[in-house]
Amino acid sequence: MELFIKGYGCLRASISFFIFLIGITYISTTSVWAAEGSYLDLLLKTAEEKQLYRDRYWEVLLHYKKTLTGVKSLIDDPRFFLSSYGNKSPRNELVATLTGFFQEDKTDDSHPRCRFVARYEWLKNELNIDESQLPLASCKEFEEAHSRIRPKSVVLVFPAAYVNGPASTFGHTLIRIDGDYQSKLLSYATTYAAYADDTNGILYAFKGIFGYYKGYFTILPYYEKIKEYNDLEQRDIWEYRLNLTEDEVSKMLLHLWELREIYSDYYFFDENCSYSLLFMIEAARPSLRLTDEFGPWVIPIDTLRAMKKEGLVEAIEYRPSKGTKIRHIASLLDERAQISTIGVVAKTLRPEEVEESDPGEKIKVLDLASELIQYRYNEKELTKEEYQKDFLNVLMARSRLGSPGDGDYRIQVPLQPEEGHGSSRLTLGLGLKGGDFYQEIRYRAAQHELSDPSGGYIEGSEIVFFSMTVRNTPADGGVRLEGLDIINIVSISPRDRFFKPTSWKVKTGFLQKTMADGDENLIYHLNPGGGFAFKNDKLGLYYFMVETDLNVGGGYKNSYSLGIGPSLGVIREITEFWKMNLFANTFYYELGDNHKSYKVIAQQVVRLSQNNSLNLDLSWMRDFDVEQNEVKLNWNLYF
Amino acid sequence: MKKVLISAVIFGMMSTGAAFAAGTSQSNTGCGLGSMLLGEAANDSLGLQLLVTTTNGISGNATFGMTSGTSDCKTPSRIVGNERLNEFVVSNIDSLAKDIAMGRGESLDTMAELMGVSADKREAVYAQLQANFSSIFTSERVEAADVVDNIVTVINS
Repeated sequence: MELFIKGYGCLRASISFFIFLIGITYISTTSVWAAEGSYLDLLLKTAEEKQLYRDRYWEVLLHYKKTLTGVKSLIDDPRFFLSSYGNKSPRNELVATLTGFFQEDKTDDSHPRCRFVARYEWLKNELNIDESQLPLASCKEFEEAHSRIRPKSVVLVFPAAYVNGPASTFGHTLIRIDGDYQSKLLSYATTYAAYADDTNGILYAFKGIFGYYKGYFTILPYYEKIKEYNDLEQRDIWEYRLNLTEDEVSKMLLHLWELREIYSDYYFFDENCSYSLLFMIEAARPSLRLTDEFGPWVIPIDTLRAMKKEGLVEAIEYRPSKGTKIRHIASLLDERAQISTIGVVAKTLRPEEVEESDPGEKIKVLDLASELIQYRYNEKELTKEEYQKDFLNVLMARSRLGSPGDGDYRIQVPLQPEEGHGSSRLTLGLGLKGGDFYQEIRYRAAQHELSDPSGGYIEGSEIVFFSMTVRNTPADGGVRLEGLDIINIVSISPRDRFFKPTSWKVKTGFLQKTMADGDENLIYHLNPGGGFAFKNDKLGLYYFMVETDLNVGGGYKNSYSLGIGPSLGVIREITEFWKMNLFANTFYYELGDNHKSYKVIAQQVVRLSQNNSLNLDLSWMRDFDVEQNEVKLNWNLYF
Repeated sequence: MKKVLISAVIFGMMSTGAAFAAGTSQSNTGCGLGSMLLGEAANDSLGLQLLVTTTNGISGNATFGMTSGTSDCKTPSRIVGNERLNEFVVSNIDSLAKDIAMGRGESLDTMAELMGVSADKREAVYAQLQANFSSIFTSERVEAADVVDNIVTVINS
């Protein structure tokens, strides 16, 4: 080396010698690494070369999502990460994970190899990891779980809305993993749910929306879920078999195991039960990008629609709720038999005394009675002791009558919930009010109103989360905000011999109302009401309510007006695609700006296709002394 | 003195531990009919109505346990070691009773599968169980383990 230094003096010589020394040191240290046979270093190097931390599957397993500055995991529990920067640095987490596999201080399920089984299996495959070179770890708990569940196929379970609870229209989703048993009751079901102890409704809602609850995955035998949704909550259950392969299902279970006892902040709107399940499906089949498809809110039924769109659904089964079964059996009985059933349940008639000429009828009466006794117990109308006695009594008498006929309790499968209209709605309207033409446009975020076709939804139910209407009346002031719905909930639920629900409604938001001087102003309103509904073949579903209405703002005397009054309505399904709504009410505003108002509306709802419908509204209204007629034609587009 | 103190602490911990364990088997108020009622019925209060149902709150255990806690119940004597069967009967005794009275049903099929009753024998077995309902569900307070034992007795008779 000295041969090249001539003419450049000491400095150059020193630099060259320094470089030489570094070179020697580097070569030595690499051989030291190689000499130590650090298998971990080899794996780390290969992982880096293959850029595994950028792999789609690593992104799926760690729930990384793009942010403005990089990526961040949606999992909030720090125990999910082996690196302290794991939630923001895929690379650090990968290094920490591989390093973790070499941990020697643990040998049971708390070892990273066992805690993060999905990561381990994937990295083992990608890097051809020789397991014999790793420290021993025995993942007993995982193996026990795996042998209990024996994952073979997956079903997406959708408990639909329950009667008299329109908020449940959004539905819920859980995943059922089927194993070797023929009976599906023995499968295991996993749900993502918020760990919430509050009973105060407002606090519950607030914490749920803003992520103050921790969400966990739980796993239970499927029969527990059936008891919860079918029996206790009276919800029909829909089961959608997904076409995931056994290998894919296995991968899903591995990832599910990684998330046990790991929390994430539960956000009612977007990071909710249904959204979180999508990660499970992506873990099974990473080529699917379901979690990227959703924006500021995720409605469970929409996640089902997304899966269908990806071609994941291969079969569908319907599991009617206890309420549906009761209604069905009751419909098979004539009035006398229904009265006998009530008698048995009320214990005014002993089961043995049931007199029906047709033994088949007697069977139905006792079957219905036993369901009703269970229903009453679920509703806490019977003590446990009463229930045990009554239930056994009826079953004892029932057991002497033999089996029911084969086709007897076959319930007609209703329209699948995902086949109903889409959750959001855009409306274009043309109308004539008080002689002036107008054009109107309305956007509704979610989800179902009486003015929508009922297919796939519960009749008489309405739930609106945010809608905005803008109207242009050229002859009268031009463009204005016609209305803003914050929340509307309506539940019209018919009473019969067996069920006696109270119908109710709550509406709040802003709308245009006529003032004393005949002008229209935008005011805030809050309109709750309650009453009774009934159903018969001639009229359809008809109801009576008493409502109150608080109007604030505008040109009201004292700036408000508070009133009370009766309303009545009819909802009549005329054909499969044509429904008629009639509604009339009157309010006596006694406080604030004292006045009366009246309204009568006749609305036709015509279903053009799954996501298209028409409304034709004819209305007459009178506020203060001002009478108006209105005709409106709406075209609704759902998406 | 130190030994007494330590024993007292250990005893105290065990008692609270037991109390906690008893508390966590939340809805297991027995091993017979009507016992495994899960949680509250759908709450109709308006506040909760507005937003609750898709939050699907869980209170009590955030559990990854695969069972719903049936360890308090006694086990049958005529079938030993069939843990899944015991769990199933304790949790589904009501629908099982109904199915046996009717002579058919999903819970009954499930129980038959867990007991290893072959498909071709089931129809006869179900008829036999239905005919002997009162020997199986001997009283209102009958417990799951007794039901299983009675069923085995009837089938073998």
